[in-house]
Amino acid sequence: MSGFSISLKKSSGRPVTAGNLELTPVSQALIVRAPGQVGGLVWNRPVAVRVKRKPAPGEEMPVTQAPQEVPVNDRTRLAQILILGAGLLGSTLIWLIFRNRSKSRNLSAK
Amino acid sequence: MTDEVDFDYNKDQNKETDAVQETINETMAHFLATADVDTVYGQPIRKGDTVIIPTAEVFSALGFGSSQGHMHRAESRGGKWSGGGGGGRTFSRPVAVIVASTEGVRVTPVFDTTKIILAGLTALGFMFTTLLRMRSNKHTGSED
Repeated sequence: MSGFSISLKKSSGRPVTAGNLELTPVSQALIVRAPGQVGGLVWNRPVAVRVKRKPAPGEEMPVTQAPQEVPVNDRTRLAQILILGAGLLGSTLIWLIFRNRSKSRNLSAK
Repeated sequence: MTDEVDFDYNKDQNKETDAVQETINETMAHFLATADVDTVYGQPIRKGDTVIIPTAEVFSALGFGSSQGHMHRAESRGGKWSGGGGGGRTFSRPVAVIVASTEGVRVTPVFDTTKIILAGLTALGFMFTTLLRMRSNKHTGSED
């Protein structure tokens, strides 16, 4: 019987050629397994694309050319986090303002 | 005249348990396949020198449960009972589109307007609820 496990798996896919570019997709998956193989969850998302430039016919390439990594950003997730964060911050500010007002009112009443 | 046939309950039970276990293992294998890179990157679409690769985020959850026990009634001849069930859900959402051409590679994000509007409404809800609560406290005279 297997136990509870959490793992982060980064994997690369088959390269795709576009002209003189070779693109390798990279993904990252969070895998949570419940004990005894009774379930779990997988959250898989794209992370980046590794771009390797191949030399054109007759073109010379430098000996050490590292592949460039283009990140795949999730703008919707970023916007969601920013908006919810702003909401939380706004609520805290409202709470602080009202609390300070009531404290100063209580002090002036005394 | 009656013929009595003896059933081997335990043998039948083991067969059933094996079949259930096999189904669970098969489903788990399919489930874990969602962690593969091909799940989040779509098939490349080619148009001349340009290649377009759609990308998506995939979230998958799954759960099983089963139980077994002995029958207590005399007519059941000490047989066993077993039962189980399971369920799961997979969500998928487009994240971006990768466009590769002779000019280079660019990643065009896909905005999910509905999700952003919902986040905005939730944030407004937080603030409005806090404001209402603080105002009602102000009127009743309590601190928080």
